Amino acid sequence: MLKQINVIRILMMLIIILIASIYIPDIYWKINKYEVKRTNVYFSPVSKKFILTKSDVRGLAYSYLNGKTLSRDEFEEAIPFMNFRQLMISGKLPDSIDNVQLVPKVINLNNIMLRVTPIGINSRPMQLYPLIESASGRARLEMPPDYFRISNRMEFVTSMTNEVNEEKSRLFTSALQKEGFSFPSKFIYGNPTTKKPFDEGYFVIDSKNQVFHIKMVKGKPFCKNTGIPNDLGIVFISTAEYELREFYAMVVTANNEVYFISYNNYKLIKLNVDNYNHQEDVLQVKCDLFYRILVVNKENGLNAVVVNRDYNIVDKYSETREGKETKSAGIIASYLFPFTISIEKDTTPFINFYFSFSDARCLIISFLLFLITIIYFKRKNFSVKKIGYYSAIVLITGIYGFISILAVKDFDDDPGTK
Amino acid sequence: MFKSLVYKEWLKLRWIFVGLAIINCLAVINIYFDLANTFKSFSANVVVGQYQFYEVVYYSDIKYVVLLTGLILGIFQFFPEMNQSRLKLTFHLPVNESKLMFQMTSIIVILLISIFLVDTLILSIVSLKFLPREFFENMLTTTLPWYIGSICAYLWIVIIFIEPNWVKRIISVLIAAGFVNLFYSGVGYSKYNPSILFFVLVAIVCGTVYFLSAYNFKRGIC
Repeated sequence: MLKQINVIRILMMLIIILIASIYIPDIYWKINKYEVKRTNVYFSPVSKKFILTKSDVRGLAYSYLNGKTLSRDEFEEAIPFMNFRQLMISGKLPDSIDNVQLVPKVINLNNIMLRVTPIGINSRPMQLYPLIESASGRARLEMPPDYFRISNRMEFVTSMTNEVNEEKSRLFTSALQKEGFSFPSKFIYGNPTTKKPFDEGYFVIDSKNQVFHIKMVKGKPFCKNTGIPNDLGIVFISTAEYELREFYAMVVTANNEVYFISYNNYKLIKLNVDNYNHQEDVLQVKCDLFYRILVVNKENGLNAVVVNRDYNIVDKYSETREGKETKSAGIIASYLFPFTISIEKDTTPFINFYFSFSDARCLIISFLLFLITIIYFKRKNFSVKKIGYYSAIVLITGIYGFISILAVKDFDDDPGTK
Repeated sequence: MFKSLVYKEWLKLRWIFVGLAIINCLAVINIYFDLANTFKSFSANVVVGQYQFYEVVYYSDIKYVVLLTGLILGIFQFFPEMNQSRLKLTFHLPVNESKLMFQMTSIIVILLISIFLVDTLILSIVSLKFLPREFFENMLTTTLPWYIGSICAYLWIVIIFIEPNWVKRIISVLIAAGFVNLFYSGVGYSKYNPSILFFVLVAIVCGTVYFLSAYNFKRGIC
């Protein structure tokens, strides 16, 4: 029994280590919350230069890369496409830039902002969607009475009765089969809202990684194999309908490549994103009449690439900023905590045990606590074997292991186990 | 011996068990009426769309009901044992204290699982009646960690009650709060899907550590 108790005691210590490594760093960072600073990148079509806006709790500052600051009015004039409404009010909207006539309606049509986050990529929403009628002849889009799933067939479930609409299901299933769809679907990507100018349905990846475009036109199925290569390794498709009708969606691949799916027969347009990691970084694509700015926002910096409307690179900018690990709280944390476990993470919606390890600096405190543990157990005249177990735990887990020793404490009062 | 122990625990806990089972059933029936009324107030396709898009956990009421079920059963099982020093007498029986503790806790874990199975059964019927089967599947995976968390909460109550040392008892309360909280994080459907096996493993490890408290208790009274 005593042997089992020693094993259970170690299990208890492991539980304490788990709990300590989750909550102690959490409380530590709650107390030492660092100030959030944000940088936004713009590219001026007037001066052909990058402009940065840096914001923190104190406010917002505008500047060129050379450090020259701008007033708010100067910024708005330098970035006329984004600020065209304000410039129209103040009468400062230029008639033309680079001999291109500026028409407010056209500027508005070309102003598009796309954003892909790791949490969006890692989300696994329920694969049950409404197929909106895309050519109803009505001014507004309307929610259909049913939702579809694509398992071993395409199935429409009428919400009112919670029963499968067999006729509609057969119609769409046979349309998909004719187009060569391989059931079931792996993932369905779409924009299931009526708050958009028109509907383009869904992009669906089938079991053979082929990408299909599915929508409903006047009650009839529209199913088309897009011809997008099935070895592309798609991890996410961000869909949104824009009146510009230049691209249906943005595709992110496992190799961190990014493409637009164009309206030109689903031809892929590669976006030259710089040093993008879809599991960690937020990708922003800001489109305007002249450019597409591809911004990869990292935890400690950003990479921006400006491309023209032919998607050729015009300019690039990168910056790194000090992360929390370079601040004094971060330095202390890297000595104190050999590792941290979080059950929630900014980049995924799922609960799990997420480990992040410190560097070699943590060994100093771990080694110190390891020596204290050895001295403590030596004084209590424990066997070398037992000292070995417990001190090894402290050496590996540092402060957490030491806390578990202090919490369990009664190692010395087992009769006959020393 | 085990039969006598079951009978003793049943005599002690039957009314509290019946009461908790009724509270659980009422909570689930309340969910049924809430859902039925939602479908009377809004059109069905809007409800399904909103629930799908925002991952509305329409059964979230039972989250803390199941947690309280585990806590209350633990308190009502061990408070009289400790208050009236009955556990001391039990531990003087010619049976290994770990075996006794295992049997005593197994009875409650089985009672808890039976309540949770009834909860799941009614919730399944409710989900399948009103919503497509995807919601039912997500309900199963969303509620599973809550049930495991409730069993862990019960086990920590056992540890806290039988721990003879007050300082360790307070430390155990802190660890218990942190530990049980692990099973009640996240908002939305099926947030533990990729990791549920790790959490089950951690719960199983937790299921062994009360033997340490039982051992300390026995040693403290010998």
